[in-house]
Amino acid sequence: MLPQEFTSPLSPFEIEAMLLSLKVGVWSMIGAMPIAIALAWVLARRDFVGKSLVDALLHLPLVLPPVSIGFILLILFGRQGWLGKPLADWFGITVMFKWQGAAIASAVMALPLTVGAIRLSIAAVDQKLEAAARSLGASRLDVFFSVTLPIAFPGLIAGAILGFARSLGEFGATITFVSTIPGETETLPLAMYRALQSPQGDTQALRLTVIAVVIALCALVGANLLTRWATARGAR
Amino acid sequence: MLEIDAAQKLGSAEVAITLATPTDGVLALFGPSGAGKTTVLNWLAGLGRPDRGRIRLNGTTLFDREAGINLPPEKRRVAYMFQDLRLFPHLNVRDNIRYGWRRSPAAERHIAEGTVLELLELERFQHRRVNDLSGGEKQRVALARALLSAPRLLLLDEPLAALDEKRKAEILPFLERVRSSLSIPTIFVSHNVDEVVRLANRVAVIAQGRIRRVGSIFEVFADLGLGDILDGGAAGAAIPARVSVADDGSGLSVLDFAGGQFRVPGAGRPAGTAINLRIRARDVALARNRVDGISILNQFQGRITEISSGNGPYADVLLDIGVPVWARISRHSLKDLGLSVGQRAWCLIKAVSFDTDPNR
Repeated sequence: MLPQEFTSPLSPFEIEAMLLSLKVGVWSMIGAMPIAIALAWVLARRDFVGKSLVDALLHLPLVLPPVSIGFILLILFGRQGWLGKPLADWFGITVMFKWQGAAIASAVMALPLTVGAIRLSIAAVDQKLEAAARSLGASRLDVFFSVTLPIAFPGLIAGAILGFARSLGEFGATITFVSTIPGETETLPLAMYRALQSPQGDTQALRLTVIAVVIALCALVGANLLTRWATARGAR
Repeated sequence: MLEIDAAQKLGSAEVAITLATPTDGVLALFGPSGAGKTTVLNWLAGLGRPDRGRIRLNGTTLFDREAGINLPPEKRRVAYMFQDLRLFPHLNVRDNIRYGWRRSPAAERHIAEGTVLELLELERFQHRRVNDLSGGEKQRVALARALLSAPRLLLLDEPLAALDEKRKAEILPFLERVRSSLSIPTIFVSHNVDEVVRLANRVAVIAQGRIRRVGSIFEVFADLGLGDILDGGAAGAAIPARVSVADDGSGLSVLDFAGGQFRVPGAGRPAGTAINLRIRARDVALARNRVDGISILNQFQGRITEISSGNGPYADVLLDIGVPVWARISRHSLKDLGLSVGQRAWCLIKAVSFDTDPNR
């Protein structure tokens, strides 16, 4: 028999952290996908001066300490920041200490992985097919949506799932950028961290870990199934 | 009318084409591989860009370097059936076929989808994935897709080159059917004389990036000056003929042509059918007198109009037997027989290949 700490139902606090993690993960991917697809296409199909700089900038989140990414976001989205000020002045939007900020931090951290997967799949689309589509009357944009994207679809799914999974584990940039506010920005990893900081928090941290393991497993198995389905659908 | 006056450097070679030709019917771009045939098709489709010059199709300027015009491919309405087909792997047969049709101006869709599907016998494949099709079926899908995009000009890049003889025989009738029932101006690239004679009515011979000769297939293939291009035994004349007796009782068909009658093994075509004959130069022997006691049925007397002998072991002799016929004989024989221009000689035709063409 498992000890009682493991068999008791989820507490409201745990449910809140779990749902918040899922919400942040899903929205970070929804927001990041258009940007990731555009970046992936440019990197896969265009040559321009400064391409390697763009490529390097994109990969910074992989190599920089996450805390510094959070700090950069803090500067950019702060009240007087390049992005924060116009957002607040024109739209009345602030993302600091909000779940939206957590989603932005997750998206930035996941971007290199997402773009990488999508870029590979776009580069693998035969450009001769795109030329054929144009000779059949499709404009460049039309070709992109009717040929390039559908054929690269399995890669798009892989990229999105990868990004989602990455955001579930996101910690450093998030805690720096939006702090840890229960119900607003306290995702599973942040909740775990806070539990560990308090005396007798081990059990709580362990329960949260089990939840995280279950979600991650579901996401990875789901990704596998989706990719298989998409590959079969677009079988070559 | 198609007018091309353009050039493009490709590595160390240059393709420089000057060509003005009517676009009705089928024009073959004929020449050895690497001559620049596909480059010209790419110019026409807008998938390749000449370095200089201009291209006009029926009054529309497709490309003009000086005027800075380069109509994008999707605005040209030039359909392209690629040698490698390029079917869309993520779409089924029907969606592949409809890809261009959906994007064509409704007012210009002169060909109905049903007509094409029926013509190419594709009705029952509509919901199949393109990767589940055989090679010949894929060819038909690619052809249907091109036809239904309502093209002003249809480009076929070596539609038969990648196929073995059996598949060729399978797809050829479809190409002939399309040509005779849809009458879309077509340019088709080939390095095979038999295909050109079978499908085209005009031919532009292209070699080393230049047009060498343009004209009807009968004129062009009677030109001894093309001996260097038509090498490898492919050289020979094309002759229009008509079936007069389908079966003479012994399994032979009698074919009328301008110089008399051929007798060939069962053409399997009813009397009255128009036929293009191909007589390869290497299948023709020459003699000073009629030869008796020989198995060759077709012997005709004619006048030698031209002799071309280069440095090789062979000489090409053009003989007028009512129509021009080439014979490729050894230079040794030429000397032995003492043949010269203006003399009369007999030609012995060992084999004739033929194909029906209801259009001619």
